[in-house]
Amino acid sequence: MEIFQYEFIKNAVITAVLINIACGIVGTFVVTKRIVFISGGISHAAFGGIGLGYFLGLDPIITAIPFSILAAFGIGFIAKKTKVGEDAAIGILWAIGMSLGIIFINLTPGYAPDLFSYLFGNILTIPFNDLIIMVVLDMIIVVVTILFYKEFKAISFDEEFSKVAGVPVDLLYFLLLGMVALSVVILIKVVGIILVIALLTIPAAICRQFTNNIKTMIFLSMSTGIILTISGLWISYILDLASGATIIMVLGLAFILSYLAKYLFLSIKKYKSSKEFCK
Amino acid sequence: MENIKSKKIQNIKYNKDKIIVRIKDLFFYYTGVPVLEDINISVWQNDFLAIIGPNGGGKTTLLKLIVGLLKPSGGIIEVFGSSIEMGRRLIGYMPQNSTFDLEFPISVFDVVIMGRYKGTMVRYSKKDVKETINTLDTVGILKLKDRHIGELSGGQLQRVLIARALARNPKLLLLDEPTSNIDTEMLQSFYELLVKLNKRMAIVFITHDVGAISVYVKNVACLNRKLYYHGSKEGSLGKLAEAYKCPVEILAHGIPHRVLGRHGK
Ligand SMILES: Nc1ncnc2c1ncn2[C@@H]1O[C@H](COP(=O)(O)OP(=O)(O)OP(=O)(O)O)[C@@H](O)[C@H]1O
Ligand SMILES: [Mg+2]
Repeated sequence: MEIFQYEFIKNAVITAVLINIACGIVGTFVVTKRIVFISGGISHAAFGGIGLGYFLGLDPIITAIPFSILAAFGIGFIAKKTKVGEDAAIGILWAIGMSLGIIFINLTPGYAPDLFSYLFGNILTIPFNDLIIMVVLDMIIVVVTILFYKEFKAISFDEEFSKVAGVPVDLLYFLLLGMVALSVVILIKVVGIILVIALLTIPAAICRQFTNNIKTMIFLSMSTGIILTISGLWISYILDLASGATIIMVLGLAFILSYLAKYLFLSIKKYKSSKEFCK
Repeated sequence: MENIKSKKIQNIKYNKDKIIVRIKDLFFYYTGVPVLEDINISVWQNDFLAIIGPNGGGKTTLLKLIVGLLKPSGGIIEVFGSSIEMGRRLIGYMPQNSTFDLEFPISVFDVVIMGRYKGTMVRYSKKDVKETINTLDTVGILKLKDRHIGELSGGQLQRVLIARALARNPKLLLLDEPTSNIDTEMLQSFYELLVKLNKRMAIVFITHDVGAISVYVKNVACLNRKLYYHGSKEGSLGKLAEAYKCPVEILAHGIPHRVLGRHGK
C-alpha cells in the first residue's frame, strides 16, 4: 500500500515538472503576447475533439489534436484576416466546441466518460504512457522555442515592426498558436481544461512582475509553476481535497501574494529614495 | 537558404543618384473613400525628403505602403529596384504610433537589436551587439540600454525607436514624425544628426516642423490625399500654403523659411 502511494506521488511530481516545462515556455509567450483568451478558446474547442474521439471509439487525444490545431488556426485566421472581432470569434468557437463535445458523447452508445475529469483532470492517476507523451511534447516545445526564440520574442513584442524587419510574422504566429494548441490538448488529459489555463497563465503572470527579460521569465515561470503545483498537490493530499482545484487555488493565492509583494517592494524603494532625496 | 537571401540583397542594383523608391499611380483605400489618390513620387539615393501635410492627409499611410504594412489598392511601389519584401531589408522604419505593449518584459538594448534582424536561424553576432551599442550612443541613450522599455519618457522612447530603425544601417531611413516628442534643445542636434546620416543613407521623414524643412531638408513633398508638390523646397513653401491648404503651420507663419532660417543659424 505504502509503495503504491509512493509510486502515485512520484508520478505526480514528475508530471508537475513535465507540465510546467511546457507551460513555462508557452505561457510566457501567451501572457506577454496577451493571447490568454485565445488559449482558453482553443482548450474549450478541443473538447469537441475529445467528444469526437469517444464517438468514433478512438483515443480522444488523437481526435483532439487536429481539432484544437484547427481551432487555433481558425481563431488566428479570423483575428488576422477578417474584421470579425477576435474576441467574438473566440467566444463562438469556445461555445461550439464544448457543445459539439457533449453532443458527440450523447450520441455515443453505452459508456459515458467522466466529463468532470476533463474539466479538472486527475494528476494523481497519470498512466506511464501519458508521461512519455508529455516528454515528447516538452521536447518539441523546447526545440521549436530554441530555434525560433528570437522570432517569438519579436512578434510577441511588436508584430508590425517584426514584419518590416523581415520576420515571417504570420507563419510564426500560427506556429505559436499551434504550440499552444498542442500543449493544451495533451495537458487536458492530464490535468483538465481549467488547470491547463491556470498553469499557462498564472506562473507567467506572477513572474512578469519581477523581470524585464523573456528568457528569465521562462525559467522563473517554470520553477514557480513546479513549486506551486507540487505545493498544491501536497496540500490536497493532506487535506484530502480534489488535486486540480487545490493546485489552482494555490496558484491564485500565490498570484495575489506576489502582487502584494511587488507593491510592498516598490513602496519600500520609493520610501528609501525619497529619504535619500531629503538628505 | 539564408546565404542566398542575403546575397540577393547585396546584388540589388545600387548606385549613386539612383532612384531607390519609385511610386507610380498609387491609389489606396481603407474603405470606400480614397486616402491616397494618384500618387507619383520617387526617392533618390542621398535624398533628404520631408513629407508635410495636414492631419489625416495620408502621410503615415504612404510610409506604411512603402514598407509593405499595407498593400496598394492600385499602382506600383518599387523599392531598391525590386519588390517591397526584398527591398525593405535595406529600409529602417520608425512608426508614428508604436503598437507594442509598454509592459512587455524587454530592455532598451533588446528592442534596438531587433532592428538588426537578418533571418530565421541567424543568431545576433558580436557585430550586431557592437552596432547596436554604437547606434544607442549615436542617438544619445546608451546609458539607458538596460532600462525596461516601460520606464522611459516619451522623448526617450522615441529615440529608442529611431535607434531601432537605424540599427540595421539602412540605405533608406523612413521616420514618421520623429520630432514630435523631442525637446527644442535636442531638436537642433537631432537634425544635425540626420544631416550627418544623410551622407550615407537617404532619409524620408514626416514632420509638422516647417522650420526644419527650411534649414536642413533637400526636398519637400506635400500630401493631402493627393500629392500636391514634390521637389526642391526653394521658394515654394509660401505658394504651397496658398494653393493647397497644406500644413497649418505654413499658413500661420507666412513665409516660414526666412523667419525660422534665422533661428536655426
Ligand atoms: N486603419 C485605418 N482604417 C481606416 N481608416 C484609416 C485607418 N488609418 C488611417 N485611416 C484614415 O486614413 C486617413 C489618412 O491617415 P494617416 O494616418 O495616413 O494620416 P497622416 O497624414 O499620417 O495624419 P497625422 O498627421 O495625423 O499623422 C485619415 O483620414 C484616417 O482617418
Ligand atoms: Mg501620421
